[in-house]
Amino acid sequence: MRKDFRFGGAGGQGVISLAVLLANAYGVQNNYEVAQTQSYGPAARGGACKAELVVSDRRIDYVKADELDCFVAFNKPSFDKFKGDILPGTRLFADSTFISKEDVAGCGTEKIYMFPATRYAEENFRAVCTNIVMMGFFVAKNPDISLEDAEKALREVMSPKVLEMNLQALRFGYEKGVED
Amino acid sequence: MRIKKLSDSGVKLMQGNEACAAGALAADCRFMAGYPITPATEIPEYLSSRMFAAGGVFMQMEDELASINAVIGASWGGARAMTATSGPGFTLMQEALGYAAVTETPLVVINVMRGGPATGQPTCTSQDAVMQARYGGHGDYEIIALAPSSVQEAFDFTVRAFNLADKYRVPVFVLSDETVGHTREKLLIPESVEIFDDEYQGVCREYFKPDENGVPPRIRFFQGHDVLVDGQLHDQRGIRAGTDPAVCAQAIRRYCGKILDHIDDISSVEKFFPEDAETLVIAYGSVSRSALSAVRRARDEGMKVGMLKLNTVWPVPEKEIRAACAGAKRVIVPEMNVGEYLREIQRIAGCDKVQGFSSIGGVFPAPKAIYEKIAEVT
Repeated sequence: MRKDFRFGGAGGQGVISLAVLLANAYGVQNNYEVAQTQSYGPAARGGACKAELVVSDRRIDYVKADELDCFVAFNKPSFDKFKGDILPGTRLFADSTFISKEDVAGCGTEKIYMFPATRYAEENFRAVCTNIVMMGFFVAKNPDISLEDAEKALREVMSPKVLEMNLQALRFGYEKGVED
Repeated sequence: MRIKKLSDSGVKLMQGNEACAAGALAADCRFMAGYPITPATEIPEYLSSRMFAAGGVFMQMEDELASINAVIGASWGGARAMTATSGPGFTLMQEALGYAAVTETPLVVINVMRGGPATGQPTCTSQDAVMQARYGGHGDYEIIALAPSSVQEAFDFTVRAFNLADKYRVPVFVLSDETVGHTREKLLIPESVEIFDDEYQGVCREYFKPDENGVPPRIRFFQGHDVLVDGQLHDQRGIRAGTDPAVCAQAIRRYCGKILDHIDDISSVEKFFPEDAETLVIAYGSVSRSALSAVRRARDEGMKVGMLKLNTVWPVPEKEIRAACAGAKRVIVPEMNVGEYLREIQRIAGCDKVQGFSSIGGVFPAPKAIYEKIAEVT
């Protein structure tokens, strides 16, 4: 089993943090092999930054995302920039706060989740929790990783000051994913 | 070798750069001088916040020249010492690295390679310094270079680099690259590491007189040895002998011989599917992982392909390369440069049989590209 994930968004939307947290959940809290890479330098600060995560139950040879299993897009510029890599089997997670159904129509896959992570974060937590709300939703849709492992990753990485709010954001996104 | 227990053993998620820094601390490196440069900066960043707690010294210098010279001084002062750099920073260090080779100063340089030449492509991956590591300074001397391909190897090879530096009294290079440096993977920090034990107890007047293995004992400053260290070629007491052809020739032969006579001890390679390979891929560093992925796919489709992964690139693991190439009809050498190490393989296996596969401009080669090359020639 090998799964290739890509996360796209503006620099500052938490794209890289999300990939690192999921790498921790899959690799450290669970037993998968992981390889996580990201945009670097000026590219990491622009409107279309990306992070990637490969998870596998075997040694990973190629560390970059190859054939995408999941593509998580937080804004339209990143969706537009990376949509060319969408395959029929790719599951698209689009933050519908910024990406519309028209935007994703005909993108190459039918497996699309329209999920307003930013709106949910702003209404219930803070905008900075957007990536964690999406993380919860993503975990709910990927049964090879559990909510418990995701929580452990947050506990290991986040400072105590912001941990509780982010745990709530994670569970919120997860519940939305289970209901969906 | 003595065994050192590590207090922070266990599985961690780390970038390759952080793993190099963690490996240096594990290997008892207690001095780093450096100047920040993309894409190596996470190494000084990591060590700047941890070196003091470990009882060592971290110095941010005014430039790379000062950095490498401070490292040479610290090494003579008795510390395991290192710097980390990339591209133009490595270029600036070359004069002092030749000095380190001639003064037989153990030190480690981690070069997180980026696209060159000149300022080149600061944020992009490359294997731009493979020949530079070997031939960067003027004159004849040998160095050791290791090429990690993963976060785990970044840690393990850095530990080994310090041991090799002390054992052979030579600058050792860890040729990482932007891909290894910035990929996060699981790192298993072991419960203990081996540390080369080179404490010299005697009183010495001939600081550059080799033991039977061709390497002088590890003399340090402030131990009462009255040491003289000079970049001009010198006799066994360290006294300048630049006009004495016999002494100088002997010194140069020894700088080369102490490495070349121990290739078997230094060399490390990994073989994949060696039994029936008609097409052989030889790769090192991050590229070797794309190459292995391509080789596996080609084998799944019935092609007789094998691979040789070089963990050490200098000195050239010539015996292993010759043996692996002997049974192959053709050899492909994928690299992120126009074909630097390719020349070494061609020298060993012949130009007719060996061809390069070059990936430049900052592009990390995907397995598909290497697979297509394999399929084209097989």
